[in-house]
Amino acid sequence: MKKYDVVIAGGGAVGAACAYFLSRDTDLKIALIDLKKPGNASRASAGGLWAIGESVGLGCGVIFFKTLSKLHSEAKGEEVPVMRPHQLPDCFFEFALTSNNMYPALHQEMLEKHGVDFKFERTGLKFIMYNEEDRLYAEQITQGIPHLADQVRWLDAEELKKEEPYVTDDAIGAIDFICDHQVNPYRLVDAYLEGARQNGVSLYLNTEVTSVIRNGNVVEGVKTAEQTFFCDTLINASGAWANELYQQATGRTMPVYPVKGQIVLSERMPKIMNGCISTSDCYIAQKDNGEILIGSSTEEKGFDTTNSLDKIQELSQGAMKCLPILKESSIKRCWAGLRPGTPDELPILGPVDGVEGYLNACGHFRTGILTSAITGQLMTELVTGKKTTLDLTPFSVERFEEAAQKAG
Amino acid sequence: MKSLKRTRDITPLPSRNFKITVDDQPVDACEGETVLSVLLAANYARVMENDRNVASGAYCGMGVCHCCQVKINAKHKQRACQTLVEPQMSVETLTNRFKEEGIKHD
Repeated sequence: MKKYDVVIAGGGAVGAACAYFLSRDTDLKIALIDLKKPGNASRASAGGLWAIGESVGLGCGVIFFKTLSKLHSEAKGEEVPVMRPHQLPDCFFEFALTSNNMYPALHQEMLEKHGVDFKFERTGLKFIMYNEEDRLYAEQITQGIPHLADQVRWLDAEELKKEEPYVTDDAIGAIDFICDHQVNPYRLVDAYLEGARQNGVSLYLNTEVTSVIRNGNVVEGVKTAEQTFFCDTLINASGAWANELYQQATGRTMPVYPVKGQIVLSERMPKIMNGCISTSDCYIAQKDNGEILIGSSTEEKGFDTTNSLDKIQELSQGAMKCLPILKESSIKRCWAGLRPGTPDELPILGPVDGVEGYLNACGHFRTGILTSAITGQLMTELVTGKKTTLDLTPFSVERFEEAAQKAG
Repeated sequence: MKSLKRTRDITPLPSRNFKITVDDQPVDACEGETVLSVLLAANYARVMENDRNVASGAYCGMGVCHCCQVKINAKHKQRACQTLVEPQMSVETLTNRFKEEGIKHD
């Protein structure tokens, strides 16, 4: 039997960030328990810190939206409507941008204090336009974010060619979100874990939480196959699997479900991209080692993590259309991950009404890498009873119950 | 033109039904064998030049290691061990796409 102040279930980007920030800012006794299941989202991430891009529905958002509108039109048998940007509410912008702003300092801190480099790169995110429809889409995006006008740059075809010489001549221009950057997602998780370990967190890796110990409405700990962990606070950071743990902890269910994304990775290439790219077909990011990562499909197929030829083809074709140089390059690897999706695409954070000793840190959908930093900070504030940096009301799990009551 | 001699075949070829070209020299080949088996039989040990301009030879011979990539029919980076020979096929060894295109790794 072990006793901790905080037990974190899940060691992806979010769980690892919670462990890091808690161990950095408090003297609490902390354990992190993690089992990598197939489809672990942090390992299928592009590592984009696309705070604005994702908030306005670019990155995998645009693919998500395309899928939605396609499903919609197929269901009704109508023509595909003109695509409109899919903008998330203001509370999400604030959440994402606050987190994004933490990375430059966090990168320095990790390098200097813990000797780990998660490869933070200032890249920008360009939405490449091929035609007037794309331009209309881009205009709608920028009209939706007047308060962020200074973070958006319009590039005409010539300017784009100068900055991204390998982008196709068919492109008529781009919008560039200058504050959107990238990291190496594997190294980010490793950096959080290593920092946490050096700060004294007990890491139980390759260990599965098998059940939650509950006494009435108080969560008292968790069990693994071999041990029992008692704790004052249990943080649920179990990604696409979060609902299982939530059910055991509270006796209720919450809508967190796996949303599959397939990814194509090229061989190592010379540096052919100066920034990250999003088009209406896919997003493309060249990582620090030269590999080019192309993502990503959006499919609701349960916990299935297989690849399918049609999606791999779509993604590859989208990337080749944008960067013709890729036509001659080889694919190194394809795989798939499971985003922890929620119905409104917002994460589920914080305590649950009527349940003690339990915090949600889940449902980060397609922005877990980006928002891991602020999530770690918010969880630290919650555990220590401080006022949180951001208002967590829009992210509480109760929003779904209220929605259900209204609907009912 | 000088022909390449297959001096390293372990067992004699069952038939020699066509020729392919390796680095501008014709060499006998038979249906069903891989480009790599032709290269090895013709005494080619160094087959690929990687993106760092270092030569390499075939290692796994089963498509995993990507150490035997050659230019086949003007297409770069084809795995010799995973490509079956075809009549009139043209193979170039020790070529590198990025070198030819003048794109440098950092």
